[in-house]
Amino acid sequence: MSAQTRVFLGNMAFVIKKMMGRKKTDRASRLRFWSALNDVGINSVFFIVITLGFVGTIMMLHGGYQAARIIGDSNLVGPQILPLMIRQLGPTLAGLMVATRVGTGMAARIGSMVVTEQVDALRLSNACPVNYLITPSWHAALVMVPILSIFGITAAFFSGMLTAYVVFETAPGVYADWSFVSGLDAVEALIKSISFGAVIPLIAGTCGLSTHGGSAGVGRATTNAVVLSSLAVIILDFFIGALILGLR
Amino acid sequence: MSWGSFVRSADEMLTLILALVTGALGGRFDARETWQQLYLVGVRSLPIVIVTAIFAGGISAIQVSAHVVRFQAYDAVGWGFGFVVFRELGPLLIGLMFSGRVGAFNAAELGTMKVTEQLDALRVLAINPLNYLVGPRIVAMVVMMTALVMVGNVFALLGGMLTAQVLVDVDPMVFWISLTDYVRPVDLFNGLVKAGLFGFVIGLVSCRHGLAVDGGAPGVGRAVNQAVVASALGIFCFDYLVTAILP
Amino acid sequence: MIEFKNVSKAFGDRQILKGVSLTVDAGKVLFVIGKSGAGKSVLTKHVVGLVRPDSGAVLFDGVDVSSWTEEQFYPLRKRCTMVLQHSTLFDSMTIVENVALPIRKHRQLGWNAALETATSYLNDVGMAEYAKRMPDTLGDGLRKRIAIARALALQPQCVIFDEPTTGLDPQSAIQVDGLIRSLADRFSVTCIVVSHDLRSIFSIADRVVMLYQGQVLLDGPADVFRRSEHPVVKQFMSGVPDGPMEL
Repeated sequence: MSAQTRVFLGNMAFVIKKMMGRKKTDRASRLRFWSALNDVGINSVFFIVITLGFVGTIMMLHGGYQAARIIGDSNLVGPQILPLMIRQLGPTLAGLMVATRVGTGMAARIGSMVVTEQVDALRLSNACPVNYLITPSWHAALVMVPILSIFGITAAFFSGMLTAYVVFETAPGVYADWSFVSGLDAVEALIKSISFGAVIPLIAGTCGLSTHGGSAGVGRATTNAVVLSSLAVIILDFFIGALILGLR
Repeated sequence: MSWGSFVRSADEMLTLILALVTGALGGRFDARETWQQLYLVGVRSLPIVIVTAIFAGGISAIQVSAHVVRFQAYDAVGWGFGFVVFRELGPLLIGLMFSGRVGAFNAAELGTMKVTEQLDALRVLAINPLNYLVGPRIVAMVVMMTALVMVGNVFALLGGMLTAQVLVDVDPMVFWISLTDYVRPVDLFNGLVKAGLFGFVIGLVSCRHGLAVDGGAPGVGRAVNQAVVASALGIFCFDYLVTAILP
Repeated sequence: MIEFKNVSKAFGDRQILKGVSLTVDAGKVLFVIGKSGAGKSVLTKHVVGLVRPDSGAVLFDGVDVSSWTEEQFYPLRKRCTMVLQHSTLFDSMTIVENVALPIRKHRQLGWNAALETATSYLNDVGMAEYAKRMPDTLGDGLRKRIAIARALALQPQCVIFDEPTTGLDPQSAIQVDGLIRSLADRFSVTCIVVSHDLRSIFSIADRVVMLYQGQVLLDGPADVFRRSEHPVVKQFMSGVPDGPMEL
């Protein structure tokens, strides 16, 4: 294990310990939480709706062309892709997009504060950098990633419906057939998005705190944040998916 | 983003593309740097692409299996899997990871060179940074992204077969036959076209944001953030275009 | 060979240069001095096209280059290059590769031949033993000498040095001064040195130009500068905070 990996893991343990610890809530900490909600949630909505909107269209096009090729009828595609949107693509891609936008943003901001010694200034004024810089985003992501996933799924649903209608002349009522969607799909989506919300700020914040060495260091930290948090999303997606498949 | 800044950034992007096309047509890209970038991009991203591909294969197998279990259509696992992975999820997930690994690194590296005046140093040595730095990087990303998706397909297939066997008890042979029966070469080709385009988008976007860095270390961090966000938008946009144009 | 005619330049609402006119003699060492922010670097960067004037003209061999495109400047930069303030070596390359880069790009030499030639340039500045090191392992004085070797590898007729001795220890500074003087004496290279290092000025300058409030305040040999009775010049020499000089 390289020295850097050890520093990173040590920092991560420190961050987890601080995030779990009891802390008093006052006006200032509530303000930080609201501003994190704004950053993680409101500022990502547009990005997620656009990307997931593309995904809905892409899925419908794939499904429609394949169904037309193999069974000659693309009317059955809607009910088939809806569960997939809900339990897999919606939460996972929303998670990846949060890792991309919020994860890099956090690492860039915290990393810049580390190299300009603002984090040391926080420590000297007896304020915990984790409580200041990471915990608010962590709480915000736990709340917001599930909500963003719902926005994303909705966007994908409607863009898929539009594509079905325009390209394959499938009536919206035929497309929006929920008979294959089960409660388990919703549970899977919820578990996934909450876990993504929990790990992304943890990894990105740790990457930011582990920054060293000027502008090149900030670049490295930001890159690590997006790679590691995206990878965490993909790996969690696999294991949660496998777990739920076992319950079917 | 306001309308004015959108127009300005579109204008900058077009100027950059135009300068690069001129450089490429004149054969002015630095050959040595191109080879070096091909090597560096490959080395930097191969491990992460392999891990991503294995899990992408696993995820696809799980999701396809969930359908298959419901309809008892075990001989369709390979088809559904191959189609989803080769055409869509493979290039998409590998592209997003590639954007994070290589694109973000690239934006950070060029941004650092900008803030430490290394780009000006190239210019005063009469070396055009576009032909020396940017062109070779974009070429390397297009080529390596395509090659990595080919490698990724193999690992995704392994991950998928293994997952299908362990979780839903689909025999690898059944999986393989259903895959080869239904998945056409055009599906593979389609995925590779996407991969190349994603590589181009990631290269162009990350270089543009790297070159535009202003304001020290915080500027570099911001540029990386903007580069990966814009690359993701570009990836989904091109994914849609390819899917719509090449059925 | 280089002439500034009434050059003005503003950044935002800060007027840096207000009509500077100046002729640079070939083969001599010219010092451009002034307090920080007086526009010394900005003025000299006009020559190599890193900055374009708002009004006025910059003439190179009698040709007005002030409205040239970036592309047109590349041939000129081979003849007249610049050593930037922070040395700006390329961090991803070893010392000898840094020096070999302009040789490979501009002299149609293979990589190995370029490396050999680069080593001889490193020898000239007494840096051959560091050839295989990376730039970030070296101190400022050594980096400065390597940056000078890299600029000389272009075989230029004119070199601009941006604060070559600022931040160096006295020994390194004297070595850098010696390098600049010998360039002018042995190879009749025109040297333009941006500096506020009084020791350098009095030991190697053929001519001194002082910028103050965006204009030329004083122009002449170092002795004229030393004996000047102008209150601002006297204050600059003594370095005292109180005086007529606007800060």
